[in-house]
Amino acid sequence: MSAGFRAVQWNNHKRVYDLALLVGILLYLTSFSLLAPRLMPSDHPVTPEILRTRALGSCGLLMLTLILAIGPLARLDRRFLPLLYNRRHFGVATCLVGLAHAWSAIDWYHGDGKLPPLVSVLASNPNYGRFLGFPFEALGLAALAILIVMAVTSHDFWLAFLTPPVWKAIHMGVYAAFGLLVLHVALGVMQAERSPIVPILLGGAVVLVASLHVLAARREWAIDEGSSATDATGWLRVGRAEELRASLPDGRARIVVPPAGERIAVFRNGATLSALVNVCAHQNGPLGEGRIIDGCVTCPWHGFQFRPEDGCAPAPFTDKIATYRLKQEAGIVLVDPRPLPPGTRVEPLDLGASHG
Amino acid sequence: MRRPHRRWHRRIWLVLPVLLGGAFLAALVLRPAPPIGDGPLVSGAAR
Repeated sequence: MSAGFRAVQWNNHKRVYDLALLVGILLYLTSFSLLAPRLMPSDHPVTPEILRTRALGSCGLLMLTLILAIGPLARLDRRFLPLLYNRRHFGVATCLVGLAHAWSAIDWYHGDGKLPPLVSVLASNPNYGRFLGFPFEALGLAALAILIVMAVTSHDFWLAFLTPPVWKAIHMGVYAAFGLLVLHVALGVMQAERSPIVPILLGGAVVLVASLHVLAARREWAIDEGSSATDATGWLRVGRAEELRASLPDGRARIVVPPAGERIAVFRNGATLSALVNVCAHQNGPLGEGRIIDGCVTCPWHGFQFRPEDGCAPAPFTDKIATYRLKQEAGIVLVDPRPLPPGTRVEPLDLGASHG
Repeated sequence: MRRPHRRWHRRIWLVLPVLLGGAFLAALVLRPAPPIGDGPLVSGAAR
């Protein structure tokens, strides 16, 4: 979290992460170049340029698969959250590997023709109406275009400039890029080579990404199925004050699910409770799965902070999120599901008090 | 995290993987016999 914008926000953790990423990419490329000719004998002569192209392409697809696995893994197990924190650098690195793959392929297959290389890629195979024989190169270029847009707009400056909903919608394009790349490989190298390794690895990537997302989605749906009980005035039950005092750890939240609208995170801050929307203003992170650090609710995804009593980020930051009214009746803590305007101060509810 | 408020938001996440998996399986099953020469990777290319 920062008040201004820097080109790249590095700290020691990110330097180590990026170094590990670079070493991992180099190790993969070296291993692929050494092992692929033995493990995946080709029906055709494989030149060093083709091997280089395949090493870069498979590296890019592997990286994209891992990126898509991080989100649901972090939903399923908190231990994966540090990977989510650094996912942006992973994405930019994937785009660079994809660009290197595209350059390698275009230079080798289309570099010496009469047409300009990019035109040659798109025009030399006109079978756009066929499934098998489809110019799979165009699919790869489309995926690369999406990755480039995402990498260019990955900075928080663009998040603030475009607004979080628009930015998030653009970056959901990563799923389209993954689908295009799967088809790029399925209609490209998988058709050219008879080795079972390509379909096994490609199918494994699809199954891994799809099943992790379905598992994470089922967990979310299970939470939403159990809408919290309401009283006669439509307020939602959070729990018995006595039970909250005993079972809700200090600095943590209980998630309340209204029938409509966003989930509500009711945080315990010492002897008081405050309710905030469960959606972080930064990237829609699940605030209720974070905790209170230095008096501020801290998002588990990227560490954005908000004061529990008014939903405002501490100075000099200006982000605000919606707050909710709380009350206690007959020992039951209730929350009004109607959100107050972002940044509205609500007096924290004393867990010991009993009033209407 | 935002809740998926529209029904298609939920459905799309089931439909898309099925479509992608179907396309992958179709490409796998319909694979032609081993190609001669350099195969489709250089079809239409200058080289």
